[in-house]
Amino acid sequence: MAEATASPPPPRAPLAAELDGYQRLLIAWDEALNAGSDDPAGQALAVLARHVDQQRLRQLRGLLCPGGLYEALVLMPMPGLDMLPDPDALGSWPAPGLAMWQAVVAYRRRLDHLLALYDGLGTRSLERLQAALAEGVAPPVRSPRALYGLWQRCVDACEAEVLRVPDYSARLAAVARAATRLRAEQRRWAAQWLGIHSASEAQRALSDEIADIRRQLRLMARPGR
Amino acid sequence: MTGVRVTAAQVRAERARVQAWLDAEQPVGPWPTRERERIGIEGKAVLRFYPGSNGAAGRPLLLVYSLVNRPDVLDLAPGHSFIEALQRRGHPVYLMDWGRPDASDAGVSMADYVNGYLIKALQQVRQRHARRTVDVVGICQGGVLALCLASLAPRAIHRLATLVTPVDFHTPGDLLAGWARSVAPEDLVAEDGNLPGHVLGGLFALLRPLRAATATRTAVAELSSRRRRERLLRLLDWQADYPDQAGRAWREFVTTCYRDNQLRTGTLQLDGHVVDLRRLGCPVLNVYARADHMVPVAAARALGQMVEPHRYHELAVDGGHVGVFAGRRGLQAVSAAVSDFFLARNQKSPADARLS
Repeated sequence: MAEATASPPPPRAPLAAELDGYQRLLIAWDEALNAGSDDPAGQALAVLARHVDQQRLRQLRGLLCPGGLYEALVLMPMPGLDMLPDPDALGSWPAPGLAMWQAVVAYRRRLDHLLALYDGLGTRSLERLQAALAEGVAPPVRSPRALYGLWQRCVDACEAEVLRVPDYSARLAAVARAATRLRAEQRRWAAQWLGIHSASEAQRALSDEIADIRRQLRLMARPGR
Repeated sequence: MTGVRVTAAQVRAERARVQAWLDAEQPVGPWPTRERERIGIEGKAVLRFYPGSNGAAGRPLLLVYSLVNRPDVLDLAPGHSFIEALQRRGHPVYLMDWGRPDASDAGVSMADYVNGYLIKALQQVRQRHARRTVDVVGICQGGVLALCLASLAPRAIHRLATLVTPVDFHTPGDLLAGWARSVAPEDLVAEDGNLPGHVLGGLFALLRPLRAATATRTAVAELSSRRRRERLLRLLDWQADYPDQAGRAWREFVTTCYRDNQLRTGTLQLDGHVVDLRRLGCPVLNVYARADHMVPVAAARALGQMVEPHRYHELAVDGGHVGVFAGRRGLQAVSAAVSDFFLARNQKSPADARLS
């Protein structure tokens, strides 16, 4: 739940975002050296692993958010999530406000089901890295860059395993469907209670019409091929 | 920690170095506009023209990039540009820029993109150079569109090169195809009728860990040079930019290609015309990446089972998807191979080269 209640990280400059992990490793390593640690590299990697355990889940919540409008809604604390009845079991609910709430809960449940696969990603990566070094699978590390490169390969290998879980695509698709339902309920709620009607149907019909006219013109003036 | 032999001095020097890079970071500037001319095609689509190094002498080349990302990655930076590499070899290059679809484009179909936009682009290029035929390079999804074009307008194409292009969408382990088959395309379409760019951006970001180890991450060593840092920033900028997808074309692409595999089975129809790759009349060079996480090798190589053997040539490249047209090795070797293929008079045996 800690990840769900944390605020999304502020946007960072691209290079800073790219080097975030490496910089964290170096800072933690330097601090461990200053503190006279017996195993400064191991200590620094443990810091990085804990960071990835939390940060990757936050990042994925942001990545899978159904749109900027919903960021606060899908990240807000929902301590009672497990106690609420499954929205699907309730059938159709007459009040649009409640239907929207149901959609939020359903979305969060599907998202949690997917993200469960990513639990402890950093810790698993650290175990993989330690095993690689101990078993001599990876060559001895002689620079911070080499250690970080190995770390990145281990994280990617662990995450690739997640992606290869047989029902991964189905879990991801369920999140997409729940996000769609959430957006639809929000539109319905806005229309019924706030009187804000989206012009989506008319707009889409118009787009189709324009494309159809262009198509007919093209067929009438079909160029020689 | 076992196996780690790094001194305190190394760690401290590296920490200071990284901090200095970050302190010196500048925002990404505007993308260079090296093209000599922009020619309106239809809707928001324009052709960007880059003359060849020897003027208009060479046969013009039409580059068809995917609808998913912006094509700017093909001209990333001076000295690191797929387009520039082709220009240097004398090819006048036309890049199809699809623009950024908005609500007014929600009804644009795959047939519109091929029979409308691409056919018009082809006509423009032929007229401007007074040529009967044009060379075409299709990249990723753009390769699918280019194959459709080559099938439906065979007399206008001299030679065709496809780069990292899926043809069989039902190969084992194709995660993107698995996802596409699990969702109802209509479910993801936004209120304006289009697929929001961030949906695809999120999906591709999830798949990123599947990239080949060598192509997975930016090697920190690469960042020592300021020019390389700038190039990386531009690449990151491009990677974060996913235009919305015209809703109808996107739904059709998912349904016909990913779900029903119609390109592979020869049953895809555009405006009632069947796209049959077995009847492609021009020589084809198929370039695929051995560690492509987006287009599995088998998905790309399926083209070889469809095109007549004497017309089919293949180039395998080590590395990942983007590396083929934006990586250092890809820029040098792939642009050269594509150019040689277009300039060759006779190609009797398939080319297969390992780039390492």
